[in-house]
Formats: sequence, C-alpha cells, structure tokens
Amino acid sequence: MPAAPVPGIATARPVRLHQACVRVGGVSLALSGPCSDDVRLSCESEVFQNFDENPDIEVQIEWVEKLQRWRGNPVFDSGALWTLFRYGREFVFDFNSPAFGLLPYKRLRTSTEFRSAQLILSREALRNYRPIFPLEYPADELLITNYLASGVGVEVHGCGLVDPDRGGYLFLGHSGAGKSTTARLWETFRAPKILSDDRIILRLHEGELWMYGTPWHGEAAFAAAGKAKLNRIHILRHGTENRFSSLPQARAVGEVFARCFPPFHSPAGVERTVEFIKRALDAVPCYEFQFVPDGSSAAAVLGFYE
Amino acid sequence: MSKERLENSTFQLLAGDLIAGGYGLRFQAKGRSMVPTIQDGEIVHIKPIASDMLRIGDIVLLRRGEDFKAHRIIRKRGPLFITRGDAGVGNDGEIRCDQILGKVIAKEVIGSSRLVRLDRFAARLSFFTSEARRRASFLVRSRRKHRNRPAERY
Repeated sequence: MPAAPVPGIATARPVRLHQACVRVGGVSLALSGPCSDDVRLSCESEVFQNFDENPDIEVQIEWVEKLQRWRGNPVFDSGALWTLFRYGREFVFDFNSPAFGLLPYKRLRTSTEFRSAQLILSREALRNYRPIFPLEYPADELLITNYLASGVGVEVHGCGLVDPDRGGYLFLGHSGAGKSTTARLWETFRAPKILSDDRIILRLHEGELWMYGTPWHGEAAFAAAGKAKLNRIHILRHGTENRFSSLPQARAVGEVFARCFPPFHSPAGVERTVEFIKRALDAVPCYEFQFVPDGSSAAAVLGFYE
Repeated sequence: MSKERLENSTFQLLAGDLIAGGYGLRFQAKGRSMVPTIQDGEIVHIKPIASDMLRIGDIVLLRRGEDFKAHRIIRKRGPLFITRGDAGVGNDGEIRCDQILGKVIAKEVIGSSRLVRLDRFAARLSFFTSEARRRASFLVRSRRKHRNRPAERY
C-alpha cells in the first residue's frame, strides 16, 4: 500500500538536467543545464560528442536576466572577446562582443584547476540571438587549454593529418605559414584523414607523443575527432625548395612554444607548458620544413627519413 | 596554380566585377575570427560602398594576398584602414581602399531563413565604446606599471 503524502510538505519535484559531453584532446567536458537548448552543441563540436561518467571538466549552465561588468582589475585582457578576472579561488572570464552591446553576454567562472565551472548567460544580451551554443568558441577552448596547462598537454597552432599508409604528421605554423594550404595539398594528393588545419592538441602516453584533432578548424575547415602517434614535428616556413633542417632541442622548444596557446595569465601554467614541450621533444625530433606550396611538398615529407 | 588559388582568383574577379557594377553579393563565411557576430558557415551579404563612407566599427569584406576576410574596421590611419576579427587578438595590418571589396550589411542565421542586420549604428557604437574603454584601461595600467618601476641606476 503506497504511503500517503504528508500534508503541509510540498513534494519536491526532481529537476531533470539535460547533459551533453564532448571529448577533445582526450579531455572530457560535460555540460549540464535545465533545458535541452542549454546544452546544444555547434556542428563542429557534435563530432566530438563522447559520453563520460566521470568527466574531467564539469560545466553548469545558468541564466540571469542581465550581466553587469565585473568590478575589479583584470588579470588578463585577451584584446578580443574575453577578459580574465580573479575572484578568491576562482577565475572569472567575461565575454563581450559588439554584437551584444557593452555588457557581457556570457560569464565563465571556474575553479583554479579548471575541473568545474559555471557558465552564466545573459537573457537580455542573447534575447534575439538564436541558436545559442553555450560552449561556443572561445569558451570551450579556454576550458580545455587551461586544463591542459596543468602539465598534461598543450594546444598548438598546427595542421595534423594521418596519412593512410604512413601515419601521423604534424605541421606547426603561425597564421599565414601554410597550414591550411598544407591540408588542402595533402587532401588532393594523398587523401589523408585531416584532424585539423589550425589547432591540434598534443598529449604524452607512456613516453609516446600523440596528436588529437579539435573542433577549432582553420580556413580549410578540417576538424576530426581522431588521434595519431607522432614520430616528428615540422615547423612550416615558405621556401623556394622543399628542405628539412634539424632543430636542436633548445631552439625547437622555443619554436614550438611560439606556436602554442599557453595560459599567459598564469606564470605557473606557462612553466608547466614549457616543461611539457620539453618532454614532448624528448620523445620526437623537430624539423624546420621549408616547403613549396604544391604536391612536391607532400612527396618530400613522405620521402624524408631521419 | 593550386586549386585554392584558382578559386580565390575567380572569386576576386567575380566579386570585383559585381561590386564595380553596383551589385551586392553573398558569400559563405568560414572560420571563427568574427564569432559570435558571424558564425562559421553563415552567409553574409555584401554591398558596394565608397571608401570615404566607411566608418570605424563597419564590417568589410577585404582581400589580403590570396585570402578574403570579413573583418571589422578598428582604426583609420589617413587613407589606410586597420581591421581585425572580433574574436581575433592581432589585427590584419594596414589595408588600402582598393583591398576593400564592400561592406557587410547582414547575415543569414545558420539553420533558418532569418536575416540579421550587421550595420546597425548600435553595434558600431558598442564597438567604439568598448575599444575606447579597452585602450583607456591599457593606458592606465601602463602608466601604473611605469610609476611602480624602480628608478634605473647608471
């Protein structure tokens, strides 16, 4: 016989949280919110969906009517969409855009380890903005790169591809160095799986260097949720001929660091990132690759042996 | 000539002819440099505009080398423009008038037929104000740092 409800005590209705989970660079990030729209993922991120019972990062979505500017001196101003503040043991990222007026449209509050976060969205700013992807760039990238800066990995500015016969190749380069061009050339001549033409995550597993695709693609729009073991790293430069130059480790660390995304607001995070790069370059050699932007560059890489 | 360069050259010729003829054009934006104003994959509408009508805060379609970008004007330096993506950290360098193909006036929202105007005065004012605030904040921090620096000894 079922128990009768006790008069005077309202029956608590459990709040059903909607969830979505992505895995980028081996880091699982779970998003939860009171309605399904709160956990909507962009097309690029949907490819990276991967449920994890114990995610590395948990993000709770909340809505407020309006966000006011965070008071206090910023720790770091990206010069673009976000500004970082410190509040006790929390980091606070405020996101501003001319599209939404002068007040923040989104705020990310995270623990210092970037294991848990609250993503607060402004109803007023986002009223006419649909669809909403709460984890939309750069929030997702900020969470994952700051998590990696604990010493477990690094995001690099690079094109990563997996040749069907020869395995993984990584080409690092600043904007305009030829990453998207490289991706397109290899696609034409070798039909590889291209993990990304702009952002790659590096991780170490038992002394081996692995690269992971990310949703944050470049102009050629390549993004795939895959990974591959690396045997070497290439630093791209434009050239009149295809040529490889071995880089001594000290210089290689600097070249890779110049093409990565460390947390500049955190000296400790920067130090751990440099240490990670050193360990990565203990595992694989690094070459400067001066390349000609045609099919001969792919052939040169495939034909190159240490 | 690579396929990519051929496509860009073709687009440049076509866009140039259309704009010169007083016609607008639509093209699909790729990348994240203008999020959240313009999402990756959204169709943007371009209209011709005389260079002396361009204002700080306007979003323009510009050609830089072999690449085309829809970025925002952040400064003017005489006859030259400095542009940057809203989500970008670095600017595009100095852009000449002849590198600007037209002004972005609207976008088609992904997954719907909704057209959103991107040339409203409110958005330009918001950009102008936030840039002014950012530069003022930078100046204050720089001066504070300079005041706190210990005097150099010779």
